[in-house]
Amino acid sequence: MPRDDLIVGIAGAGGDGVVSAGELLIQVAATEGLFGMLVKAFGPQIRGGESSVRVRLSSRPVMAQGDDLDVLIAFNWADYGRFRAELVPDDHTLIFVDEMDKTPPGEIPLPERLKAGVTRVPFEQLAIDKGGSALAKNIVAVGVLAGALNLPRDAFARAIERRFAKKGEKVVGANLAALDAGVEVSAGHHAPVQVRPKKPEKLMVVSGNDAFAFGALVAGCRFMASYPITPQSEVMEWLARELPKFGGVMVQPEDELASICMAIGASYAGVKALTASSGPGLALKSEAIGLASMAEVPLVVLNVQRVGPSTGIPTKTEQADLMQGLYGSPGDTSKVVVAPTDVADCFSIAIDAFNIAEQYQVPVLVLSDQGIGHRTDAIRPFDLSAVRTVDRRLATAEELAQVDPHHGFKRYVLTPDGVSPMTVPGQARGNYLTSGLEHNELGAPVSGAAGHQQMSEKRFHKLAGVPEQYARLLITAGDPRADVGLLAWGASKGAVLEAVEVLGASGIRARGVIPRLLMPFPTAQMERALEGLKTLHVFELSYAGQFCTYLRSQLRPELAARLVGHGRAGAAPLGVQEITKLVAPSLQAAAAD
Amino acid sequence: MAHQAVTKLSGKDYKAPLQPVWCPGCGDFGVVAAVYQALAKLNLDPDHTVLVSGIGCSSRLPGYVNTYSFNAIHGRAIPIATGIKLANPDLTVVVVGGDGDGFAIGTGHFVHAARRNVDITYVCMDNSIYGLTKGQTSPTTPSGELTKTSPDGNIEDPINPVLTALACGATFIARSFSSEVKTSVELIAEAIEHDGFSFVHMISPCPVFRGRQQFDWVKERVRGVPEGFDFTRREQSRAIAFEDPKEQITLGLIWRDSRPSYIAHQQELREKVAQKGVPTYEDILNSFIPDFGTVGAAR
Repeated sequence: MPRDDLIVGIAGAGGDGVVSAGELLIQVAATEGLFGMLVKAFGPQIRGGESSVRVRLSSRPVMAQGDDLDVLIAFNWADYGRFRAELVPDDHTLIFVDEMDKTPPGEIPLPERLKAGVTRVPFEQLAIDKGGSALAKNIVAVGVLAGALNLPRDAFARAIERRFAKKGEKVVGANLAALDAGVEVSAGHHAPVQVRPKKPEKLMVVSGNDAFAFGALVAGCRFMASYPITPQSEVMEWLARELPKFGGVMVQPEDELASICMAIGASYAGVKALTASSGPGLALKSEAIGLASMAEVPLVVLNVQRVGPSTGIPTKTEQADLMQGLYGSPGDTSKVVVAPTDVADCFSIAIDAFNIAEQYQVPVLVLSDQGIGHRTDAIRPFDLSAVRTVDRRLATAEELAQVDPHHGFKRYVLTPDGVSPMTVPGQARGNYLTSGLEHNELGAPVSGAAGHQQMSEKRFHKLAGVPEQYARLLITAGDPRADVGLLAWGASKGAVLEAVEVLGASGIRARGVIPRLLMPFPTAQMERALEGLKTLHVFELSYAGQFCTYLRSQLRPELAARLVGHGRAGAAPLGVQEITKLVAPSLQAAAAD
Repeated sequence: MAHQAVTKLSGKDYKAPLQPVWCPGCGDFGVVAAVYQALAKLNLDPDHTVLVSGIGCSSRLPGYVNTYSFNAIHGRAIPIATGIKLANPDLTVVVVGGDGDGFAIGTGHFVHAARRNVDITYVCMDNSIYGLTKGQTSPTTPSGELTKTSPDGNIEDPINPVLTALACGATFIARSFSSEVKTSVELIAEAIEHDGFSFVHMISPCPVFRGRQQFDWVKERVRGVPEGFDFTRREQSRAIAFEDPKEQITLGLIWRDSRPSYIAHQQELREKVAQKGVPTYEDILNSFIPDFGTVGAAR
């Protein structure tokens, strides 16, 4: 399969401008119509530590961060060494290092065979000479990339003009000089793959967390209460800036408990509300998720997963909050759980989540993860004209005029579909008692078995239509005649679907199946998607294999028997080669049959 | 601005059909009576009034009042009420609950609600015991008291709710006693009218788990504010907050301050932001699309 993608890695110390260089690259490439994905990694320091980026560019949408690098720029070998597992060069890789680096050859963190091919470039010296300051060394590197990747120098120049405009002509001029110095140095160095856009189109560059926040805004969210936690904080920062412009508010309360409870209060009062967190915070919110379920208050809870348990590795990704998300609240909590699989999904799933919450009067948990939230994609712009928003069914004034004032409004009246019209404070004759206690149709506390059974049925039955209505949330890709199925959820989709393509290109029929609606489980849709598959490989970033366990509990026994779990601990995302290697033994077995 | 009822309502108009589950002699009967009358005194529209509570005997109170009522989870009434008020500042929002709910599991919220000065009223019905769970030590149980979880006497010192409220920046602090219904009505009504976080420390004895003597003990010690008392003078309020309840318990308005409420700040912020122009969703979408064509073209 001829490659139409290119992977660039850059590593350096704090202040080297590694992330800025990566952002310039993906933004310019997007202007040119190239799709992309940018993943950042940092050392443990709060500020100023070593950092790295990897940018993958392609003429078609990028699904995963890819494997070996095509181009590597190291500002020094010591800092690169900390990211050697993330930024792996191979024989074809174009490798640049700053001439200033004096690491003895024996200590250079590269395989012996690659050391001779390294090009030494005076990044820092050129930055000082041409750009007037060592600070411009990342711009020299950008120039080298512009040349080696054969991307238009002028587009970079305009991006630099835009970026440094506020700092004055002098700074702009110095950085343009640094850019040109880099372009000059690159002469004769060509990246092993040349990617060109299929057609000129304008792409957007956005992170998963920003995409989610934007989606929430578009869905009509006007209230957010959240407590800062990595890797969620960007969502609340974005909405803190944007919500007041739309008459809304983002509140930062004293803790996770207050955050979700404020959101429940706001939604109860009629405003679409959001709270967000990561694993440890979700644990703290779980009691209140049960309250929203019991009181039937629409609510969206975003959980951007990170490595756990406990504090884990806050800046790295994992998919091990699944069981906590599905079953973490006290009692039989009826709720909806959805999971975006990439940056574009963060936008659309945010809208779905609010629509489901409103229509079904239920808490909706969105399980995102650090791998999506903190990643930046160059993708086709979101289609705002396709957005449909749903508002909860409020009792009308005519309906409320019929209410017997001696009994009051039946907020939890039993209906055929289980959803009862609600009121919000301010609606005349609509007042009622909301309660976390089990209650009757009026909301008054009850403690009998029959009443509890009836209301439990109501709360679960009302969600029965969700899988059919949201059947599009189940993704299938690959060969409909395949024997081998690859199942994953969340951010693991990208690598799994790319693996399905890679297998297909080598003549192996495979099918990827990715549910984005996890609860209520889309049983009928899933069984259709799995039709004909003999082996179901399950990929996930969970050492304990939570997703595989969950699938086993939800599928028919004969399908469950075909599951092969490949769960592993997170911190590093799944790789395409990793997946194809794990699938290989079952392919050989099938061939031998 | 609080929404008033269209016709003149009396206390009984605020009474909901649900019958209280409280024990005979419970102080909370006096409190709910005062709540009915305070709402009637202000003639508040039941459909624009929200009562919020957490968990505990006293947290059942919202169910007995003919308003929008929210009986939530333990300790979280204040943040739920805050969310309601921020979502719709036109509503009158009153939180009721007990000492365990407000000064044990929910203390953190009390501290920050007072600091934030959200315009809600909090009536803490303090019986100094966990009644609903049948008699364990509470954060306001006096030291030495025998309870089910301190069978040999409570070795902890109690928290002082009024002093805590003062320290945290509450802008309205009052204290009443459940049997003094008239005083309670006035203070609750005044607290609701106050623009900011208002706190009423309501002593409400539990005859079952603290015994009849608790009522007598409180009754012997309560008094009104001293003559010439000025609730805007910090040192005078502080003296009352520090008084030893074994000596005396002062009822009345203890402290009042007039700093702007969170709602006022929120409105100000929105106006400031709106002056810079409100974007459309398209504008926001476009801000995510890098375009390095125009700058170069303009040069």
